[in-house]
Amino acid sequence: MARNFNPQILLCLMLIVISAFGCAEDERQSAAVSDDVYNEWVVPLRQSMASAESAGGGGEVVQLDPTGWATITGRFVYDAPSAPVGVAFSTTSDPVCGAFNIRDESLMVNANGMGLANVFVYLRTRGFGDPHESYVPGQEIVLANNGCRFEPHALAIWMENKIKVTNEDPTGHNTNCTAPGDPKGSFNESIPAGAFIVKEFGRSQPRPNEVKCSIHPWMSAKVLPRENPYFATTDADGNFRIENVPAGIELEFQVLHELSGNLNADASWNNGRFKVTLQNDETHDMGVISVGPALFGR
Amino acid sequence: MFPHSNPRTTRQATLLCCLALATIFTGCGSSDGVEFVLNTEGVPSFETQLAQQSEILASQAESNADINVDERLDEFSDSYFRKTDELAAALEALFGTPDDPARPPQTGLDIDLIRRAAGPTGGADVEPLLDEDGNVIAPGYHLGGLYREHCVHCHGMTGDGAGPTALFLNPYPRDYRQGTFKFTSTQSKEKPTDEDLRRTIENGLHGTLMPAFRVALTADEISALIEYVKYFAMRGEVELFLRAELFESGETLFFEDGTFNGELINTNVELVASLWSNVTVVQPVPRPGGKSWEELTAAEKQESLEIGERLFRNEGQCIKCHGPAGLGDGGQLNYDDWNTQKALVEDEAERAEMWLLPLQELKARNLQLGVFRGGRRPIDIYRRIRNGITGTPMPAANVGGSPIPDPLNPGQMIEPMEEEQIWHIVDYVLSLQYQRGFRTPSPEMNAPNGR
Ligand code: HEC
Ligand code: HEC
Repeated sequence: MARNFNPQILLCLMLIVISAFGCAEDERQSAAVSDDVYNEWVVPLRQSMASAESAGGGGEVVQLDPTGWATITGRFVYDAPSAPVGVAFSTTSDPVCGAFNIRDESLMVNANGMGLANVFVYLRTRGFGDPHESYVPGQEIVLANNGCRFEPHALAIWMENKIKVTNEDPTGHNTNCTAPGDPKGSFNESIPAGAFIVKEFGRSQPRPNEVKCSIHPWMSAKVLPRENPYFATTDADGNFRIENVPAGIELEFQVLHELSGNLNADASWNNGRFKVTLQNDETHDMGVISVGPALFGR
Repeated sequence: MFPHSNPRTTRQATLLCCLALATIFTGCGSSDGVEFVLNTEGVPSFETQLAQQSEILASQAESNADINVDERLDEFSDSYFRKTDELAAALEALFGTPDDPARPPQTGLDIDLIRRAAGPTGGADVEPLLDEDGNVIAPGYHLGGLYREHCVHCHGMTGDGAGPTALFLNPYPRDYRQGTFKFTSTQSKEKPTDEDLRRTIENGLHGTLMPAFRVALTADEISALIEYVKYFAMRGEVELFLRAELFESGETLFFEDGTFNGELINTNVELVASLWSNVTVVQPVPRPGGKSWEELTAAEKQESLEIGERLFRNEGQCIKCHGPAGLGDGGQLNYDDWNTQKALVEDEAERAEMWLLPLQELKARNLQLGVFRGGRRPIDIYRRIRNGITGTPMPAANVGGSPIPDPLNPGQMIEPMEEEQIWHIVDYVLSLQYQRGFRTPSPEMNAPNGR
């Protein structure tokens, strides 16, 4: 074999190695476009920008006329032999927090019945008149710093309401909320023991805002501000229930979870969405919606 | 081992060889070239996404015979590459390229200033664009090349803070593409003003490798660079919003029939532009008693420092991060916004696949050093404390509000900190540099609850 060895191949291998090395660290994806894409897409969009300088965004929302109200419920269940247990955090940097046993809450499954908590279900469809009278604006919805964790971990909030971040612990916290495109809803403020802050959101978000405490970096919550009150998060048993949603028109719901993003619980769902039209006064039970670990990267 | 006489293998080897050679001569990938790169920070590679997708589909196919896994995976790949093209096309239409910058009119950005900063080092003339009859369609212009001369080796061609020098710096140069800036005079988490950016570029950021350009550049040149930094930030944030529209919300920017989703694109551009035009500059309240530090008597100075120290330890919560003596040893591991997500990914190889630069920790500042990145004037320190430092863990102070029950002493109330009291903390912070080696605060001052 050695006799037949082809030096060309050696040279070649060397070149491959050199070229691979030179590029290994850099996997940047070019933003340059091909000539076809340039001519078909870039040129017309650029021209329209130049001509229609004042083309307003936002878009008109078509007004929809519900015939009445209905309720939608269901239960998310984690389809695995056993419930995952979040890793325990080291919390000893603060003597107060060190007393609590705090675990990662990004995937909360109730071992008793396998219910999946903290799934967001919200109505995407826009353009109804006033919401049902059971929804009262102007309230303060509490996100508590309690036991060196946020309670609740997943919170959806109607933008007509405010968020009150409290601190029930005998130690100081700070609450750092990142709300993309929403300076009003983005804040990082210190909250001494016993104190609270009240904030409003200025933008309905498609995905929950990230909320952290920098003093206790393990603390994390997901807060989803919405322009209408038709949403729910699943409870510890995986149940959700949205009452008094508009009936008689096709509704599109969005389902999300912090680990999966859009939750395609059913192969027929796209982008974590399903459509349904409810009858007046109907209680529509979606039954058990089973979701496998693969959706959560487990 | 070496199948030496298989002609097919030899042909393959030769092909690989040519490819390797080509790579060496053309430089690696695209980033060496004069072009923008897409922001894929925190995004798993296509291969990883495909593998995840295939796992999900396989598990769903077990219970649902209608699912054709191969077909669905093909759909996934097609859609991934189409969306990537759509994103790149929209960005190029809106913002152009490094040598041919553009900007949507809604941004309010000044194209002449941008052109002065963009382009190759030393500058370049761009010829006018003529039609067949020699009429000017687009006039020629000059590119000034300031950014590539002074900033690109740290802040990168795309403003991604990952130029060739970046890897060796701590903190890393700013990645402008999230539109997040630390040293601002505006409300917590708002965009900086032009004046804020000017101060950064003129004075540099002390204690970091960000140089001062006051001497190297004229005021006009700095104006051009300010505009270009804002251009990167707006372009970057529009990119992030459009990426989410495409890849997370499943929207389409360019339709099959050759039209485009102008409304969606416009909405996002206007949103980003509004973030820059609607900012509130925080005007500091007057000092307590209206006297500047220099005007205070020795006793008044002493009193201000004592109040400042108490607030630093208690109501202000500063010791939580900066430690009891301000040494920056408050305890917990922290990261800035550019590193927080990285820190959640434990596997180093996975991190390297998803981010350009390795994980970097951010310590609370050692205040005894007396080195302040955002400036050492009392007003600078006031703003850091009042507004927090955007993009970092450092929070805005909690001021105003009503008295709250003291959780440690039932029946007693705690008075909240007043805004003017921030000046006492400023005095205290500025005094710490004269107390080097000061480590053990008096026990009664070291309240365990850090209120
Ligand atoms: C030697 C490397 C280097 C060069 C050259 C450099 N910078 Fe920087 N720059 C940095 C670093 C490092 C930071 C981040 C400091 C921090 O995070 O505290 C930074 C931060 C910034 C910021 C952000 C300030 C803020 O409030 O967040 C701006 C704006 C900036 N640089 C502009 C420029 C401009 C314009 C140029 C060229 C004229 C330039 N820089 C050249 C290293 C550099
Ligand atoms: C949650 C942790 C945290 C708390 C609480 C905190 N800081 Fe900071 N602080 C930081 C970090 C982290 C930095 C470094 C930010 C950077 O430059 O990237 C910092 C930086 C600073 C700086 C330097 C600013 C500059 O221009 O370089 C000052 C001054 C400061 N903090 C004062 C305070 C004071 C006073 C308080 C209390 C009112 C306080 N900090 C509370 C984390 C904290």
